[in-house]
Amino acid sequence: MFKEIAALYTQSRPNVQIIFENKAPDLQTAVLAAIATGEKFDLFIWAHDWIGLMVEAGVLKPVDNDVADVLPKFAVQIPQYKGRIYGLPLTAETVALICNKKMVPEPPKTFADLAKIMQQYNKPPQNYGIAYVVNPYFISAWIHGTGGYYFDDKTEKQGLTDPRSIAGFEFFKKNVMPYVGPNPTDYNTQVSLFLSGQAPCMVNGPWSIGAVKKAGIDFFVAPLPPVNSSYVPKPYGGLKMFYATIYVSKEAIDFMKWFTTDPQVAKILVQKLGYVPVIKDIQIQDPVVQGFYEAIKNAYLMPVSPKMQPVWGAVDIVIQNAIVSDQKTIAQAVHDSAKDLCARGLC
Amino acid sequence: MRPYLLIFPGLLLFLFFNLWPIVYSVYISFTNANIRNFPQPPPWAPEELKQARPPPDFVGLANYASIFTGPASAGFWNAVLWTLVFVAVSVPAKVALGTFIGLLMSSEKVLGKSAMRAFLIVPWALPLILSVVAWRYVFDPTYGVVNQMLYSLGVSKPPDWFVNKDYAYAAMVVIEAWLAYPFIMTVVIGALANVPRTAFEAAQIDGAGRWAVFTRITLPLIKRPLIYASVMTAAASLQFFLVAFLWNFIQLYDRFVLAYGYYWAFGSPFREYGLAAAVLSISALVISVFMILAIRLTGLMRGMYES
Repeated sequence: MFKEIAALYTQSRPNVQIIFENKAPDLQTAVLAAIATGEKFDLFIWAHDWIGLMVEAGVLKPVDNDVADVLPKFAVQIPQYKGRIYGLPLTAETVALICNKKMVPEPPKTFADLAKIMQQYNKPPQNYGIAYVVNPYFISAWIHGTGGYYFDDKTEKQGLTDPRSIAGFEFFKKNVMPYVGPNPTDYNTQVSLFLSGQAPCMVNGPWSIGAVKKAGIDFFVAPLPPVNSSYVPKPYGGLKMFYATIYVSKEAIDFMKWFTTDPQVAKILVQKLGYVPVIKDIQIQDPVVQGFYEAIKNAYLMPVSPKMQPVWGAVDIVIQNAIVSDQKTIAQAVHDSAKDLCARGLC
Repeated sequence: MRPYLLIFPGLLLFLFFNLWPIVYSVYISFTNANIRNFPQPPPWAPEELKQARPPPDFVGLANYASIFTGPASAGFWNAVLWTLVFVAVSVPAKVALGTFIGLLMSSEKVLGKSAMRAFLIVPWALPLILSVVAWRYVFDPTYGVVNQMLYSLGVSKPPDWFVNKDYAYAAMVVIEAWLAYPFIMTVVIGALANVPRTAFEAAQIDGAGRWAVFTRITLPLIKRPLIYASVMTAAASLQFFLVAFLWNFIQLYDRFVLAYGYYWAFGSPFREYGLAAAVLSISALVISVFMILAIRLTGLMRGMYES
């Protein structure tokens, strides 16, 4: 799809050539290795949370001045690291509630509604209340909702031991965890529970929609419902963006600006790929994209500091030891994780 | 002079491919090499890249100090201890299993040995990643064979072999035994092929029982290859890493020395290559000492240079 969009661009600009390369499965290593050894390329695409690391590694070039003219076109805040801009976003991603209309005709308005649905359908070992991948990214909504946080991007400090974070973990464990199907940390198990109709709803992101459509499920997408007026779940969100490398050319910056702000491109991305747009004044007809669009409004952008990296693992340990199993209490688990992070210079 | 000239190209290749990486790793372990400064840009790289990536600083023994006395030290010794426990448990399991199957596969009473040998060698031949995937199904907390069996035996809440640290560790022992028994088995079969049948016949005529034949005749005759295989497989247990990494790294990282080094070095924001190199150097040293001691104590090389 990207190649087709690029062709639209080069049609009117015969002197520009755009080459795409797929560097799966490990883009981070590929980018770092290429830059460090002096291999030149202009742009790469990934979620915004690599900015800090990539800047520290000397990979990126600030483009504040070059892109200043298009910034007003965006509906989201442009990711920055230490006050500088290093690229432009093309879509936003976060998790939302995806429900099977056969079992749940209307989106739940409050968490109490969702709880009723989960209770009604929870009949293990055949059916479960919800399909939910219990990992740091997917459950972050409930921690941020109570005012807690994993990591504060401004102070670069972890917040696991904050009482509000503990309250968020405890809310999830008490009110959602009992209805989650088997193997809660395994993505494939959880998705297949929803696809096979064994769970009325699943919490997942836009990347899972292809599989849901393929399974022929009639579904809707809605934001995670609020517990009350002050406890609104705020999931981590990511902005998929173009990163400008130190070798970025004037032509590449122009292409990036066009790609991210041209309404026609945005329309193609919405229609063909189900991408949630990040620019203003875009009509969304697709109810799925609309659902994620609403969910993004509550999202909490992932930190850009490279110091977030060890925190992911620390939260994962809390989840494994205290949420999906009872090897430790939540208070104990967050305390141990914080201690471990502190030993690594992240107090 | 001539012989030296003849081995010179080979020696050069040996030094380049074997010695240079070791020397270089040790050098890195004395620096603060990390994602920000390593690898260094080539001479033709633009000036701004060179400025953005200054060369790593020499930090002396700082990396080693942080392993032995810094915040990482408690976890490091814990990992060393658990690695030794792993060696102590997994090596006897591997050797016992491998020897037992090797004896079975050498017995005249077993039919279809060659076909069975081919199947038994499979764990050795399979790519590790495939084996781990297969074992994940076996130990799956809900759908796995192991827990299904436990269910049918009346265990209402069988353990989670991924998320629970101790059970995950136990699973590692089982998988390592399964991965390594073909090696021991092959060594035992090979060794037994060289044992004259007359020794067994004589023992049987003298009225020796099965156990007596095993301990008095079979074992002494295959002792040396078996010790060799045990030492080799013990070294493999000391270096155990990849299966734990693929299984559930977040629970197992502090149970294996190499995994701990990896976690500590690469779980930090900037991937501390210097620290990782220090952990590797220490591990290599420990394993070398272990091998030398094992060879000395078991007399493995004795007689090798005497004839």
